[in-house]
Amino acid sequence: MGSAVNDLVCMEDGEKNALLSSLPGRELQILELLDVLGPVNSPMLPLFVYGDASTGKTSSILQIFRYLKRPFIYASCRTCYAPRLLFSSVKQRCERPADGTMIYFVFDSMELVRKWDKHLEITSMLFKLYEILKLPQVAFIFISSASLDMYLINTGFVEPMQVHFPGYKEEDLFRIFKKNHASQNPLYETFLKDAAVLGSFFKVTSRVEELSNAFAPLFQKYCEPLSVTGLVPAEDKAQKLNLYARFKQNVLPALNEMFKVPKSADVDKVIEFHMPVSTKLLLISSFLASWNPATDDAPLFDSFGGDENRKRKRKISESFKLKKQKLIMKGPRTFSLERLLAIFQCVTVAKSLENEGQVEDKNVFERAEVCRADVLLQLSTLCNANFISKGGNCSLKGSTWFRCTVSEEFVMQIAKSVPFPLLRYLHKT
Amino acid sequence: METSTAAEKALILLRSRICNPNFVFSALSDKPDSNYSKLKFLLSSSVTESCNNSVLLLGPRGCGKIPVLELVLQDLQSEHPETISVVRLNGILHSDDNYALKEIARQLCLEHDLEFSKMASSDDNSQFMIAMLQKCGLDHRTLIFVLDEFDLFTQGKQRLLYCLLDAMQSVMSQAVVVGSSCRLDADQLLEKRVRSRFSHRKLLFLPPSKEDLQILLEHILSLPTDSSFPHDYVVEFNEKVHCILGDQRFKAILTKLSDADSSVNNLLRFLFRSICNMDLKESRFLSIKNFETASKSIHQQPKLESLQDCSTLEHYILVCMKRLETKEQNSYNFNSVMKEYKDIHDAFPVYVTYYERDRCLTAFEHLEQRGLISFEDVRGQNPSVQFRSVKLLVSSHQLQESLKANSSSIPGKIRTLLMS
Repeated sequence: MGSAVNDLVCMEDGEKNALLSSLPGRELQILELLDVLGPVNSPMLPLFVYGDASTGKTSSILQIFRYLKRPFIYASCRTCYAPRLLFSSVKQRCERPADGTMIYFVFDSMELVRKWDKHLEITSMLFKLYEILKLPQVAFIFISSASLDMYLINTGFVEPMQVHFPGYKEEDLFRIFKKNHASQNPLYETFLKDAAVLGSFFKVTSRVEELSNAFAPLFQKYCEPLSVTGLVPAEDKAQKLNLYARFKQNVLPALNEMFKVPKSADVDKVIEFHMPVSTKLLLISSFLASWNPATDDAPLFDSFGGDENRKRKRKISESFKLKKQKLIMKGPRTFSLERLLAIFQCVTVAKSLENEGQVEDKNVFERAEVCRADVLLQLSTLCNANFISKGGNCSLKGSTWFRCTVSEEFVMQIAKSVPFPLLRYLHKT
Repeated sequence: METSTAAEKALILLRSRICNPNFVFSALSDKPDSNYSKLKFLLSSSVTESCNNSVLLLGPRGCGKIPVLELVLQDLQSEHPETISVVRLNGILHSDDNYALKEIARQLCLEHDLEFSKMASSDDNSQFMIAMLQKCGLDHRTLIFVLDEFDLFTQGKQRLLYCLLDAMQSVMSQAVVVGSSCRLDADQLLEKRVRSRFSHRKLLFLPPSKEDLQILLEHILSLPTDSSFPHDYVVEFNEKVHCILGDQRFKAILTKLSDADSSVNNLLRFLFRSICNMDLKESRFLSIKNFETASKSIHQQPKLESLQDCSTLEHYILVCMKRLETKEQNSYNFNSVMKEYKDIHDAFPVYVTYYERDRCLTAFEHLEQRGLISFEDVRGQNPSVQFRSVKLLVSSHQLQESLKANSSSIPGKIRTLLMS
């Protein structure tokens, strides 16, 4: 009898160790949660598990329940994106005979509830459900990436017990990546540690999914020399150093690279946009309308306004710093359709350029051609492509406003491809 | 082995005690001047003298308004069987008048073995309620309406309250309305026509006094000396509990706890965490250490925690924002933060690593998700993140602490930058 019980205990310990080792870096939290969940069929006060995104909250809870083999009902506020869906999904899975065993309700991604309609009522209702029901066989677990102080709280709010999941430390991350990858390739460990990849990325982010996205292409690059020379990975120190020397210069660019853009041979033009010339000009005019003050339109585009313009500029330069700061603060301004069309007219019509003695005179006639294209249709295309954002209510009343959302670098490239002397028309502040 | 199962049984018993507020508050019910006695006197006299009544239970959250009421109702139901039916409503669930009437009809139907129609209109339901009030009055049955979160019922046109209180006055009924609210001015929220029909009886529920607290702790933590546990175990267990309750360290923890929040609910949360720490295998008894650990885990500072999780780059951004604030720039956005970041990088290239704009923007968004910074304006006016003006939500002291805690990865120079 005694030995059988001991065997059982041993097996339990083995399973517990497996649980702990399946989630490296979360041992303390798992032990704490196991204590809070307690023995079988023992009631529990509502529990609130919180911690930053990607700290293993959901997977810890799910693994724990798998290990404990207790019934639970899981509903995520991300997939059930409205109260109705949340409640019906819970209700569907609720319909089981109550035989006295504990049921745990797990509500995941609670932070999203804050963005719902009537979220105050719903959060206080969910947190108070335990008190309203007065059923000891039901337990509630809430998982949230926002701590309790970030919830807007209404009357009826009952504070739950809290368990915090802190962010991963560098050692924890090392163990996680080692566990996930080292079995496939023994070099991975050296890649993380000796090549200082993990150390330098950890300074930027500690989120596992972001790191693993960044590491995958880097590791390929790290192993490249091996596949080229046909070497076999070995525990050779000289080889490791060799690999590291070849690889070193790749880390820093990768740190700053958010999205992988396939590079063509020509580095200067990273992405080419295939748009009609008239659309490009329209985009440029919208950029000018957004960043130039409306008062400068006349001097900039009027052939006689050159001198006046220069005077005004000097005045502006006195309050240069303040203005610049203001501009940075405000971002692109809104403009009306009329103003856009006027600027577009000026940009396309040859006259204003001829007077200033442009080099690109040969383009002028092409541009005049462009004027005939359907501007409104192109404008709506640009709006749909999110290059220009549209606001206001009714286009018939003329109360619509637009705003150019593209960056200066992008417009510069577009201007270069037309070509169009953008800098000359940009208000200098 | 046997003592270990006894320990587990004890743990389950303690857990179910703490999770059962009725058990907790039964400890304080036998005093003559307790709220329990007052409420019981009030309700039982309305039952025996068959009159209408209304009362408000007021007091802060978690001080036992509803549990004491439940205890009284339990007693009354056993003393006067078949003469009391209770309808329970909660302001969080039933603040809408139509739903509330429907719920009342549903509960009355359930109680009196009638068939409830989901299709019935709100008028039907209110007529049904009045008819039931009349019928119960004739049968000398008392209807008790429990309205939890009473203040939420006063938000709309108060049709339900008016309907209920008016019916109690006009028809030959026998009903009691018990409202419970954590707003002490709950009766002032009532409309004039409702207030005039409401008897202004109020019972105030306060957090427990020092002596009551001691009684509660003894009541919750000591094991019963009946046959359900081995006798030796119970004696030893209770002795240890007694020791802990007398310990100065425990008293200090308790003072710290009630300084923050002296409600019973807060105490129960703390006790629950403490007994969760009980060692089932080795010591098998509660120890002062269990309570100390629980006290540590209950006093958390969420802002500081999430600040300490920040990466080096995120700390740079926070320091830049703090510097902008000390420069008395009353509003700034991502672009100005980036400018400041570039400035301090140019000044101290050895200490401050420079990362590209996109990387910083991601870090900036992470900070926003963590609630360490927040946008000032409403979304929609300005579409892109970089132009929206932001505010820092942590104090410079908190930032200092966090930089100190992360000193292994962040050079000390950054801390001096924060000051200047």
